[in-house]
Amino acid sequence: MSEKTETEPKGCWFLVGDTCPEDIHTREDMTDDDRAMTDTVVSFFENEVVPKMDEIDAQNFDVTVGLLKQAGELGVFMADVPEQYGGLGLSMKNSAGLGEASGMVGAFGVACGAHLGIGMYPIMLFGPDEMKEKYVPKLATAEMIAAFCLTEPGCGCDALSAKSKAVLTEDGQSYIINGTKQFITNGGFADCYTIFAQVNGKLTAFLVTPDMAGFARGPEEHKLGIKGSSTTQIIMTDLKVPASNMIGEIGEGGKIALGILNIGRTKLGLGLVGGSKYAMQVAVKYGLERVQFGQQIIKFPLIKEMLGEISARIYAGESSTWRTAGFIGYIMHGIHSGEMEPGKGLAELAVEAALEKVAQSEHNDYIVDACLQIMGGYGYTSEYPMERAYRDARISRIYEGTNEVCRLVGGGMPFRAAAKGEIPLMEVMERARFRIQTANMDFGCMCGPLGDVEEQLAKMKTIYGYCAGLVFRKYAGAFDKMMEGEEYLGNLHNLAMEIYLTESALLRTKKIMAKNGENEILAALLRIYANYAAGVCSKSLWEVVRAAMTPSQIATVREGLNAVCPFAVVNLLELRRKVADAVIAREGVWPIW
Amino acid sequence: MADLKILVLVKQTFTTEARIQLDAQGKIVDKGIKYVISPYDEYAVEKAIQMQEAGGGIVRILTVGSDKTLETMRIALAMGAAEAVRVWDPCLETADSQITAQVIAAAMKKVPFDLVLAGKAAVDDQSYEVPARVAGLLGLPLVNAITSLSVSGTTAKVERETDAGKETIEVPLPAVLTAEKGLAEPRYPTLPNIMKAKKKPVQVYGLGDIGLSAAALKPAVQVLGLSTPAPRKGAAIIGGSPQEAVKELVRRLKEEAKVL
Repeated sequence: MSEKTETEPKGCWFLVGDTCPEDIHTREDMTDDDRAMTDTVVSFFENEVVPKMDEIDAQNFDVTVGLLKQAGELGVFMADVPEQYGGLGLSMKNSAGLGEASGMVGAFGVACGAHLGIGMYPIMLFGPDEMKEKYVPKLATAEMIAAFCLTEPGCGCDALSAKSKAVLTEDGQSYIINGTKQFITNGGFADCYTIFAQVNGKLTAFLVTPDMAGFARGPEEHKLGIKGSSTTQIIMTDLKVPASNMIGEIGEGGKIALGILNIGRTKLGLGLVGGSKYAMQVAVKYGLERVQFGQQIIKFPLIKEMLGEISARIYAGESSTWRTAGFIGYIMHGIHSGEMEPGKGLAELAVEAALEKVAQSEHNDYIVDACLQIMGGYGYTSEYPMERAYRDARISRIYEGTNEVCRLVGGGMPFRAAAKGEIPLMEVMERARFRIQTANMDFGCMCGPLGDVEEQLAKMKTIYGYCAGLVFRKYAGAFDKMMEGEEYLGNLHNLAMEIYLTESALLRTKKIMAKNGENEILAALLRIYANYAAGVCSKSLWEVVRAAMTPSQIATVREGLNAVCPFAVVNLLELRRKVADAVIAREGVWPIW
Repeated sequence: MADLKILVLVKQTFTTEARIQLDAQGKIVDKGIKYVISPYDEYAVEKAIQMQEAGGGIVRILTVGSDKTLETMRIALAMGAAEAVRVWDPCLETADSQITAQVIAAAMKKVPFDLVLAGKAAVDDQSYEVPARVAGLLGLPLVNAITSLSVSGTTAKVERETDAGKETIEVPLPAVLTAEKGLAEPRYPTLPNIMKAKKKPVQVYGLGDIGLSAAALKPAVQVLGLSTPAPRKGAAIIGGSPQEAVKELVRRLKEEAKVL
C-alpha cells in the first residue's frame, strides 16, 4: 500500500491506498465563522429547544413547526444552499458543526434532518432551475418545510421497487399519481414533498404540495422513540401534478434517491456523534453529583472504564464524520460549479456514507446505553433525559437504509468500483494474499510515536484485502453471486468500517500533533479505539476464513493468519483511566484534551 | 434621533458556566474555556441595536483586548453593530479598572458618540468601576443599572429598579448609561449576519494612536494572588414529617450552626 493518494478525495480510496494527515478535514479545521455559527445554533438548541423537548415529544406540532421556522430564520438550514438561492454558499465542510448540533435535540433534530438532509437536497441538486428558484429560497429559511417520500407500505429496503404510479395526461401537461408512501418524516406538516413513482416502470421523482387535489395524510404513527417527529403516510389518489414538477428526468428516481440517501446517511452520522457527545455530558454531570459509598460515582473505576470507551468511540466517530464531511464538501463544490454531474458525484460517496451510518448508529447505541447505565435507576426514569435518548437512538439503525442494507453497500460496492477500474482492489487482494501466505508483516518503517497504530492499521488493511480475495474467489468474481453471500459482505463491511474509523482517528491525531505537539490524551483515545477495532477485525477475519476455506487450506496459512491478527499491546486499563480523568476534569464537555 | 451615535463598551469574558481553574503559578487556565460578550454588555449591545433599527443612528462597539477578542466582537457585529474599535497593547494584559477606563476615555476622543452604553459590570471581575470611571474622566453624567431607555432630542429617559420601587430619570446627552438585566433580551446572531460581520470595519488602535504611553498608565489596584473558593461542604437532608423536620432544622441552626 505504498501508492500515494492524489489530494482530491476519492470514494473507497481508504481501502486501497494511504492518505496524508493534511489531506483530511477535521473538526480542528473549523474557521472562526464555522465556530461562531455552530456556537449560535448550539445555544439556540440548548436555550430554546431542549426546554421544550416534552412538548415536542407530546406531538405538539405547533411548537415543533414554530421552532423549525425560528431555526430557519436564524439560518440553520442556509449553510449548504448556494448563494443564488438565498443560502450562504458553504459546504458540509463548514456546516458539519451544525449537523452535529442537531443530534442534541432528539426528535426535533430528526425533523431538521428530514427537512434539510433529505427534504431539500433533491430539489436543490436535481430540480430544474425554475423549481430551484421557486422553492429553495423558501426552504432555506424554513418558510416551507420539506419531506422525502420513498418508502411504501410494501417497499422498505427494496425501495426502488416502489408501486406508486405516475401516468402522463393526454395533453402532456400533467401526471396523475396514485400510491401510498409510508413512514414519512415531517409528513404531518411539511409543505413540499419529494415523492418517487414509476413512470412506465421507470422510477421518477416529483415535487408534490399538499394543496394538490388528491393529496392526503395518514394518521401519526405511535413509535418507540423520536416521538416528537411527525411520521405519517402520504396517500395520493389521482393526484394531478404539473409535468414541470418532475425532479430530474424520467427514470432518474433511483439515482436521485440513492444519491440523496448518501447525504442523509452522512448527516445522520454527524448528528449521532453530536448526540453521543451531549449524552456523555449529561451522564458525567449526573455522575459528578451522585455520591455513593462516600464518593462521586463518576470516579469509580468501572464507570471510568465506560467513559474511556465512550470517549474513544466519540473521538473516532468525530474523526471519520468530519473527514467524510470534507469529502462531501469537495463533491458538492464540484456539483455546484457544474464540473460534476450530481448523481455521479453522490454515488462516489456510497461506501463512506454506508460505513458512517452503520458505525455512528451502532456507537451511539452503545453510548446512550452506557450513559443510561452510569445514571442507574434514575437514568431509567423519564424524569431524566437519558431514557428518551435511549429510545430515540434505536431508529438510527433502521431508517435511512437499515444497517443490513448499508452493510451490503459497504461490503459489496468496492467490488463494483474495482470492476469499473476505479480502485485497484485486485492488486490489494493479491498483495494481501501474498503477505498471509508468506507470513510477511513487514510494512516498512513505522517508528513514529504512533507507529504501533500505523502497523495495526496496515494489518487491518491486509485482513480486508485477504478476506475480499477469499470472497471474490469463492464466487468467481460474479457480482450478483457475491451479493447473495450477505454474511461475507457484512464482515467485509465491518472490516472496511473499522479501517475507515481507525485511519481517520490516526490521521487526525497526527494532524493535531504535527501542529500542537504530542498529546497523551489524544494518543490514548486513538489506542483505545484501535484496540476495539482490532477485536472486530480479528473476529471478521476468522469468520470469513473458517467459512470460505477448508481446514487443510487454513493449515497452510495459519502462521500468516496468526501474524496478521492486529492486537496492539496496550495497557487498556491505564489508557481508559487517563481518558476518563480528562473527561471528569472537563465535566464531560467535549473536547477533553 | 435619527443620527444618534451610540457607543457600546464591551468586554470579553469567560462564559458564566466556565469552571475556573488555576495552574501551579496561581494563574487562570484558559484552555478549553469559551469566551463570550459579558452578559450585561450584551444587553447594552442589544438595546443599542434595537434603537438603531427603530430610528436609524449608528452603533459602534469599543473594547480593550488582544486579537483573541475578535471572535466575540464579530458576534456583536453579527447582532447588528456597524463598526468595532479595539484598543490593545501587551501592557494592558494586567490592566485594572483605572487603566482600562483611562484607555477607553482616550480612545473615545477618536470615536464620535452621543450616548455611551455599557454593562453594569463585567461578570468576571465584577468591579462595577469602568463605566463610572470613564464618565468621571470625560465629565459625563452617569446612570447605572437601567432597565429601560428611550431618547428624544438630546435627552435620554431611563428607568432603574431600586429597593423602594422604580426610578425614572431624565439625563442630558451625551451620557454614560449601564445596563441591568431586562434592558433588552439579546438576539441570536443569524448565520448570514455572522458571515457578513467579517466584512464590517474593525479599527485597531495602539496606545500611541490614542495619545497614551505604557509609562503613563499607573494601576490603582495590585493583584496579590488568586485562589479558588473552598469546595462547598456536603448538604444534609433532614427526614421525617414536615413538622419534625422543621423542629430538627431549627435545633441544628441553633445548636450546630449557631445562627439563630
